[in-house]
Amino acid sequence: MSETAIQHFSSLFETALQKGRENGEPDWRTHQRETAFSRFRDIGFPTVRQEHWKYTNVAPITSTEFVLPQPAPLPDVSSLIGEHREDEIEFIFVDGALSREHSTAKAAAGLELTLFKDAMANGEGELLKSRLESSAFGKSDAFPSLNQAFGSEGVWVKIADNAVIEKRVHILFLTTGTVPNALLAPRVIVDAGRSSQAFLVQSHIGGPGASSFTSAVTDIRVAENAKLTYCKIQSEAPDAFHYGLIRSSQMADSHVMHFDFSRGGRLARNELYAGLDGQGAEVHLNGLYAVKDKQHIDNHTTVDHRVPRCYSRQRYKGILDDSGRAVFNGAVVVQPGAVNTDGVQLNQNLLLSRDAKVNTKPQLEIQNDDVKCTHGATIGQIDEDQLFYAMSRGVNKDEAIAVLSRGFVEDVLFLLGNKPLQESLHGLLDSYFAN
Amino acid sequence: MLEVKDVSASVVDGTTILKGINLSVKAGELHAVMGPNGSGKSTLARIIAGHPDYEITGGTIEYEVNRKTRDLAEMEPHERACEGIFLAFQYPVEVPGVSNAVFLRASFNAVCRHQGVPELDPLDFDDLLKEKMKLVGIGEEYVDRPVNVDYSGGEKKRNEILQLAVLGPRLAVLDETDSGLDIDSLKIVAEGVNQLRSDTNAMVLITHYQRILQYIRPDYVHVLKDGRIVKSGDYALAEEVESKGYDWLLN
Repeated sequence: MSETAIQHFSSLFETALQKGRENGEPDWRTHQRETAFSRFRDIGFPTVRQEHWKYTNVAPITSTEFVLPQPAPLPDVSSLIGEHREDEIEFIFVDGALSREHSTAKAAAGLELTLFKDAMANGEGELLKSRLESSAFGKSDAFPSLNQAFGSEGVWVKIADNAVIEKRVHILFLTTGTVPNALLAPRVIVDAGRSSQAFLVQSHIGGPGASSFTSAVTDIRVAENAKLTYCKIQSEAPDAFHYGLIRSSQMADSHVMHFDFSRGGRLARNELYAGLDGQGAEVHLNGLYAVKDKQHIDNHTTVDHRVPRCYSRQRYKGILDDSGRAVFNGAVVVQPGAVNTDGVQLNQNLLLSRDAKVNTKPQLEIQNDDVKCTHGATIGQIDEDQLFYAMSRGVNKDEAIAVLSRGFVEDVLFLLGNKPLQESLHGLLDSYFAN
Repeated sequence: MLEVKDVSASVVDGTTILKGINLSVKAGELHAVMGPNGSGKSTLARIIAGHPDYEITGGTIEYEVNRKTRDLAEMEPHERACEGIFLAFQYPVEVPGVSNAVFLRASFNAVCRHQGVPELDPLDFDDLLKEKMKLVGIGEEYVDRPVNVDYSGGEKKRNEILQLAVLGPRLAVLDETDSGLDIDSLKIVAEGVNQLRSDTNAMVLITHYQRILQYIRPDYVHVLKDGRIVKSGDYALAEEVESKGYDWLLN
């Protein structure tokens, strides 16, 4: 990392520390941040010489001077996020601060959404401290460390044992762009109790023209027999940078579906790490990414089979147009002793232009013999027969390509199993296809 | 409506298949085009529809609708469809991920836009679609099923007739709609086609077998051989071909 970049982030960190003191945060929190920032300084941003960053150059991030978000009079947020939905419990952050005005006041029985500062105030400090402890993670510690160092506020979602949460829980991080080049470090912790059921959405939405850098970290723990769908939506502004790490750990017989939808940003990197820690656990990693213009979206996923008899499926699809770039690295790790593993990983890509490019690499690290693991990757174009078929029914070429491209992603969207959310995602794809 | 004047056609950069076809189709007429394999029947269908793998190398095809005559070669495939030309494919294409509703609504509204008529919203289109499905004998569960994916041969051909019913074209070219169908499916498809015939539209029914013509009675029958129409007549000609075979026509 260049001297200038180090200096800049250092002085920005001083400001963040100052803010922390002003907000009266406990010493352990300050200490955690300082440790994290030290680590960040030591390792620096990843470079393309590192295997897991080979195709993703983060120079545009390192060379930008960021600032901390400022509290500002609330702009017209509704136009950016739509009206409140009855079928959702919403927790909305605007430029890093919770907006109570736009959030649903009442949660639900068996569901708690607690801000970190409130957790610290009501005696959960020690618990929170240990949950926040390990920031060092992922294919490069730089981004998670940055999140730990700069994170000012976050939300802790607790789902009680046996609770069945009917409504979708939506944690929305909106970047309005009122302050250009804002650095945001949202943190989400989720604890799903035994035999609980919930559907959570974490979305990152950027207002038009917003420039920002989000480095988000989400930690999920799923207890025995729980069922959780976790849908992450990345729809940042076209000039924004996004890093999002989600790591989950599942106990026996639990069932988790991760769904990663990534459509925005100039440069985005999603890392998803799913650990299977109890026998009979099942995880599905489904994802959809759509790049155009000069966007770059990078998805790195890992499923770690640590115990026997677990089941995993990864299915990511991507559409690329113009000079868009995508990277997919899907790994299945099977530890010695994790016998009876059933893991499948598949990545399929549709290229709509000559200059679009995808680098896809499936990865299997299998350390015992009693497993069933397959992986696959495809890169293709619009089928000519299908194209002529649509055109012969009156649809012009551009529209036919849009219809067929939507068809390509439809089966992955269908896996979400939630019609209203699928409709929202269809809506986000509208802007992709509007030429 | 359709004037095919001395048309020659070939596979792009390849063999010549049609060698001077003349065919005149007027509103209200149904023409059957028969012939042995390799005679150029499908090629004729595809050049009318504007398939990118084929090109007209000689002659012209004129299409007249609403008192305007246009050279088909100047029209893109989607334009031809918007102007009322429909091809029922011999091998209907599977379109995974795209339901019949989505596919047909996109088509229908594209044609509406072209003709300056208001488009239909999804709910209204759904009503129209279900009405046509009833007409053609297709169950409502097909509304959300992806187009042709895993359908049997008969289901695929029937789905082509559904599309015909929804789009209401002026000129329908049915390319071997009967091939591979059992008698029951054939009767259902024929029933659908007959219900859609009118004084204002025209059809060109391409077939290898005479059997379908018992159910869909043509006004004219043409026999194609080696890229040329060697004989034209009425239904009696079809019966002759059936009893004597195509080789008889060599003489």
